[in-house]
Amino acid sequence: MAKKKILFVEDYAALQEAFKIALGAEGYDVTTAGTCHEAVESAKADQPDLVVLDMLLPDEGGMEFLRKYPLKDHPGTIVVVFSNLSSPELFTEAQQLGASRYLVKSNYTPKQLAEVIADIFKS
Amino acid sequence: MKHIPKKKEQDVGSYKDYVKQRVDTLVPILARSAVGDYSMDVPMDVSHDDFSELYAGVQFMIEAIRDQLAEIDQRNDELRAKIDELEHLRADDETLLNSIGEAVVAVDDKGKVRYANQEMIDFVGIEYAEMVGKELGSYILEDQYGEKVKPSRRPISIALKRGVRVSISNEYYYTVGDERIPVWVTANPIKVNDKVVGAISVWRNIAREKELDRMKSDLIFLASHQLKTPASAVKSSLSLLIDGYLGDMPTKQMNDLRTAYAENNFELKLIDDILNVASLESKRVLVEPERFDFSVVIRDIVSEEKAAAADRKQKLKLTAPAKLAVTGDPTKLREVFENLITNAIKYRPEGGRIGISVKSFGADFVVTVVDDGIGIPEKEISSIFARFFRASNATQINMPGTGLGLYLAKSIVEMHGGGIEVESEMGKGTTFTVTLPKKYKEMKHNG
Amino acid sequence: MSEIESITIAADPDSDYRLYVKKKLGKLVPVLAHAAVGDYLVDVPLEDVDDDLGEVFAGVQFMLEAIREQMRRIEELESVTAAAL
Repeated sequence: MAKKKILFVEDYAALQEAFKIALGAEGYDVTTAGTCHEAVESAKADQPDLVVLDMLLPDEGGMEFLRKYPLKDHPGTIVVVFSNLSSPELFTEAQQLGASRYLVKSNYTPKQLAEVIADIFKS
Repeated sequence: MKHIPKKKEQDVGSYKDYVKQRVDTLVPILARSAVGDYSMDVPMDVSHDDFSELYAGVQFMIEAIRDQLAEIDQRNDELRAKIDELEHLRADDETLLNSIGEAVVAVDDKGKVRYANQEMIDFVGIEYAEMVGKELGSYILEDQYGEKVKPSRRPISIALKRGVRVSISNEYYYTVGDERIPVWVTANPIKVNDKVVGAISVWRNIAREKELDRMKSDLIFLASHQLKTPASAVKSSLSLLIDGYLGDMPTKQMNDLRTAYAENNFELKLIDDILNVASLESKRVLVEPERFDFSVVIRDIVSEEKAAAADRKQKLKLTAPAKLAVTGDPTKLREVFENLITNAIKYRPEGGRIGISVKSFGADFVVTVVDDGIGIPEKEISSIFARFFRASNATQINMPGTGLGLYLAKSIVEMHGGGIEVESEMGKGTTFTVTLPKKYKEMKHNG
Repeated sequence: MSEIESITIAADPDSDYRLYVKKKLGKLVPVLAHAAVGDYLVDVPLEDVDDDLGEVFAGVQFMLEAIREQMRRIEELESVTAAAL
């Protein structure tokens, strides 16, 4: 079975590293991106199965990614918002743009995120 | 027969002349009075004839008129003095009212404008002459959703109708030209002998305050992210080690890692709590209500916490209706029950049961969280909801906690118009009972 | 007065005139009597006769009306002052 492709969008290098290692160890093909622009380019090239998306990125917000890589054009892609900003308005907006889940970063260890992702892929 | 002097016989003959003579004496006086000159007196009447009464009568009337004129003068003077005095007072009052620095408007008992100070005139941009006599309600106030505030719900109407002071902590907006200005409106009834004869309303432009509030909110929002990012990085790095992604780790090092991990988690929670408290206290409109199914929320929380409970060999049992439609702020209410259930899990070493039940009671619903944990010392039960308070037995068992959880829970519950109660017995367990209205009603402050 | 009266009735060609004057003046009496106690509301009986007393009667009536007017003014001032309080 082909490995599932995950695009991990996060500007903070240390976090990027840690999650890449863990998700890689769990058997996913992980690509990382540190800016919205990079993320869009990478997504268009790779067509990932799942995108873990941070909201505060150096160039534009994570919301912009959802607009520039519209999920209705890529129905096979699942987006999980992974951010420390926890506001209901952001969640609603992300949901309207196609995000499936909104997880608060500081509540999840890499292992826990891997479990959530595994659940998502199972269903 | 009496002796009649000859003089009188002569008078009789020229009686017509006599009459003319008597009349002519009066004519000048009457002529003058016809032009408003009452200065001339009727000449002394020595004749004692048919004309005497007339003379006396005319003199009397002249004097009466003079008295009247004097009285009119006096009253005019009095009136002028009174007007001057009132003018002065009004000028004083006006100076006072114009120096207050707030826009003030006064209405009569029918809600029609009687007075507005310069600030008010400047604020609404309407000439004073146009304002007076019109209802204040014709100046349109909008609420934060852009809806026109109903005249009967305006502060001034409530003050007039119920005779109470009204201070609105909601946001009202008044549009002047292109600008939509946030105003804080208060109204006070004017009472004379306990009867409401009018009301005074003060409008304050709070654009600056709202700006500051927004800046504070933004700061808190941003700080939330900035503070948590490094802590998240620590969390993920440590967990990589602990979860074995970077190879095996000897026990000694593992223990230290776990400690570091736990402390870091605590810090993350503390940051969350502090920022929650700060944001609660800074906002004016504190709750963002929406319709949602409370049963879904409580089920969600319980399933989240199941893992943590299982770790400690605790049983979580939930009894709730299949559906419970509620209006409130779901995010904040989540906080409340996450807090209560986490506490129940934390404050019991191992094993035990935690029961959560949700029941509907007419217009309210009641949630109870019952545990058989360490309980709360009787003396401390009343302080349990205070900020940064931690029960002595909690610190004794070395259980970390921020001391803010229950404070937050209570604040949120009360903002929804509900109440929270606790019953506890040391060593036996604790029950938290939360009562909430199914329909969130905005709480208006008075004064 | 009564002395002269009795003489005129006996021998005077002016007696009609005297009576006339006396009667006419008598009509003023009630007006003046009322005025004396502060009641200025009785009018002077004015006749369309051109006699020596006509002017006087008119003059008295005019004064009465002046008094009435002033009374009105005073009342007005009273009420305005009261309202101003």
